[in-house]
Amino acid sequence: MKNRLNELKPIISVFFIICTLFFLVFSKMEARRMGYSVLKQSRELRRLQDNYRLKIIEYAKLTSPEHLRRIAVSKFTLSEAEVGQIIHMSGKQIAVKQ
Amino acid sequence: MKSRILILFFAFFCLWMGLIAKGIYLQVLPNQRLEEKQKKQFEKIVTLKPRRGVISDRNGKELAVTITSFSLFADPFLVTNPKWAAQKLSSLLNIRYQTVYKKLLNKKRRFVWIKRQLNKELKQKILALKLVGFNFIEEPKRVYPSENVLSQVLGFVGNEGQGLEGLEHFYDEVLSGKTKQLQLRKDARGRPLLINGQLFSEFPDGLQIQLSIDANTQFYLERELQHAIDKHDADSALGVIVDSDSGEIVAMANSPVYNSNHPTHYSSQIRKNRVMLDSYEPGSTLKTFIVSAALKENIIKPNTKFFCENGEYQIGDRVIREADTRHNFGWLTVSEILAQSSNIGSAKIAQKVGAEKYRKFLEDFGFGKKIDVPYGSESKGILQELPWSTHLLSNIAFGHGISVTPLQLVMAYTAIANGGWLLKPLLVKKIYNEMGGEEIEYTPVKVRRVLTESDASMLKLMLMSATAKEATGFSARIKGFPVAGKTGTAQKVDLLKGGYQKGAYLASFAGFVPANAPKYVIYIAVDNPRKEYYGSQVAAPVFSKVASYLVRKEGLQPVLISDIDLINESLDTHKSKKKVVSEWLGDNTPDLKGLTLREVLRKLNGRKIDLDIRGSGRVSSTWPEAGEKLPGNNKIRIQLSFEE
Repeated sequence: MKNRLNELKPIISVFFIICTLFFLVFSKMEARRMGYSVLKQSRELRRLQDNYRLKIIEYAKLTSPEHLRRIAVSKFTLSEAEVGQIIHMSGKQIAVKQ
Repeated sequence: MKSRILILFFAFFCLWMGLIAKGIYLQVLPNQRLEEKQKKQFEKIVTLKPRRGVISDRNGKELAVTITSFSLFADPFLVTNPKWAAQKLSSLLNIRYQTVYKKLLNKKRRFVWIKRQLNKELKQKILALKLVGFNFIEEPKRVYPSENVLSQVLGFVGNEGQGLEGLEHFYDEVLSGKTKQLQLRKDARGRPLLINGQLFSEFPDGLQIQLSIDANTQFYLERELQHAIDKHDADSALGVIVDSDSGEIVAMANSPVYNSNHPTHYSSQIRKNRVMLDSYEPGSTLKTFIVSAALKENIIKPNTKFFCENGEYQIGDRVIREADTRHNFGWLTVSEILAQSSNIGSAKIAQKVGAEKYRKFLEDFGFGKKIDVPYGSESKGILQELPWSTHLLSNIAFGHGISVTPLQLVMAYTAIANGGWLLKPLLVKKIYNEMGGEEIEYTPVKVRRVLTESDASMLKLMLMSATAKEATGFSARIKGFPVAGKTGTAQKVDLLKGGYQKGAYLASFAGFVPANAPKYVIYIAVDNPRKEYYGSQVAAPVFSKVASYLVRKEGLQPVLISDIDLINESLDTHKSKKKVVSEWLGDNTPDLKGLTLREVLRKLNGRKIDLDIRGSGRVSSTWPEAGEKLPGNNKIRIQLSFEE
C-alpha cells in the first residue's frame, strides 16, 4: 500500500501543480474581467451623475423664485400682493395685515 | 553520419543560444529605447478631469452646478463638403453661415472650434448629420440655475472653467479640484487594465460650498431693490440682511443684477459686488454711533438735552445746517436728535465725546479697516487719521468726511442688535466633499465686545423711537412688530472735481427687526434716486417690505397687536374678491381682451357660444375680433397670453 502511494506521489504533485496553475490563471482572468466590469460601472456612474446633475439643474430652474413668479403672473393670472393684502398669520387667532 | 549529426546539433545549439541571447537582451538587459516602445504599446495614461464643486444656499438649493457639455471642433483638411456642413451647422447652432464656412475653408489649420459647450441633444442632432471631419470634446460647463440670483456674490467662470469673479474666483482652488492622472496597462483593444478599481471610481471632484444665503430671501431683496430703482429713477441699489445672533449673511444684493450664465453681456460695474467693494459716506445712519460713543463714555443719557441752534450752527468760518432746511430745532433730547436726525445735535454730542475717543470707538466698530473676510476682496473705507478739526469731527458725527462699506455698517448695527458683540460676517457655512471625508464648518466668530448690554439696550430703545410717528424712520415700520433703525441721506462725493455732486444722494436705512428681540439686521441703500431722495422716502419703505417678508417667512409672533388683529375663528378669511364683469347682450363679438378664462365664462353666461380656447392665462386676442359680427356657428376662438 505504501509502495503504491509512493508511486502515486509524483502524479499527485503534478496534479496539484497543474491545479495551482489553473487557479492562478483563472484568478488572473477573473481579476481582469472584474476590472472591465469596474470600468464599465464607473462610466455608468459618471453618466448617471451627469444625468442627476441635469435633473438638479432642471429642478432648480423650475423652482427658481423668478420662474415661479413668472408662471404665477402669466399662466395663473395672479397679481402681486400689495400692501394691506398680505396677512401675517401667527399664533392663535392673530392675523396682522401687512 | 555522426559528424553530420554533430554539425546539425551544433547548428541548432547555436540557433537556440542566439535566441536565448536575444531573449536576455530584450527582457533582462536595461534598454531605454525598448522600454519606451513597451510603454507606448502597453501603457495608457488615463486623465480623470475633476468636476467643479456645487455652490448651494443654506437650504441646499443649488446656485452653481457643473455639467458635462460637448464642444464641437473640425479638421478643415478632412471636411469633405464644407458648404453643406456650414449650412446645416449654422441653422442648428444658430450661428452665421459665413462664420462657419470661413472656418472650414482654411485647409491649413487642422483644428478649429465650431461651437463650444453644447448640450447632449444638440450633440445627437449633429451626430445624426454624419459629418466628416467633425468631432466633439467633453468639457465642463458651469450653470447657474437661478440665473440672476446672487450673481455679484457668486461671480462666474471662464470658458476653460476657471473662476474669474466673486466666490468662483476666490474659492477657485477648492471648487475646481485637481486633475488625476492614472498610468495603467492596456489590453489589445486599448482598454485600461485595472489593478485597483477604486482608483477609477474615486473622481477628483472639487469640494462643495454651502453658503449662509437664503435664495428666496435673496430673490425678494433683489426684486424690492429693483422696484425701488424703477420707482425713484435711481442708478442702483444694494442691500444686506444679517442674522443678528450669528453674523450669518442671509442676503447680499446688488441691483441691477446680471445673469451669471452670460456674464460678458454686462459691464464690470454691474458685475461688481458693491456691498463689499464700494465705500460711501454713510450719512445719518452713522449718527447712531456718536450717540453710542457718548453713552459708552457716560457723557449723555437718553433724555440729555442739546440746543440745536434753530437750524444753523457756526463752527469757525463754516456753518452746519440740518439736512432739511425746514427743520429749525431748538432744544432736543438725545432720543429726539436720533429720531429727527439732527446734524447739529449730533455735532454737539461729538464735540463732547472728542475726536480721539470717537475715532477709537469707530475703529472698534470695524470702520476704517478691512473686516478680513475669507470670501472675497473688500474695501476698508476711509477713517481719517488724527488730528481732526472741530468741523471734521462734527461732519463725521453725521456721516460725512468718512466712508464705510455697506458690510461694515450692517455689522456695526448687528453689534447693537445682539447686545454689544461685533461679529465677523459669515457667508460660507461649510466646505465639504460630496462623497464624505473632508469637511470644514465655519462657526460664528465674535471679534470683540464694543458696547455693554445695557448701553446696547438703551440704544435699541432710542432707535425704536427713530421709527415713531413723527420721526424720520416712520415708513420703515411694519405692522405687528417693533422696528429699530435710522435713516440716512448722504450727498455723493464728486470723485472727479472734488466736493459733492449737486443733487446726487445716497438714500439709506439701517435697522433691525423685531426691535425687542432682534433677529435680522437689514441695510438698504439706493444710489442717486432722482424723484425723491430722502432715506425716509426711498430706503425706509424698502426696509419695511423686506422686514415684513422676513418676519412672515420666519413665522415670528407679532408683538404689537390690537383688537383688529384678533380674528374670530369662524370668520372666513378666504372670501374671494370677484371682479365685476359686465354681461354681454349684443350680437357682435364681445371685447374679451385682458380677461381671465373665468371672467370670460362669466361674461358669456347664458349665451350659446362655442369657445375654442388656446393657451392659458389672460385673453390676448379673439377671432372674430371684438365688435365684428359673430359667425353663423357662434364659434369664438380665444387665444390666451401664455401658450402651452
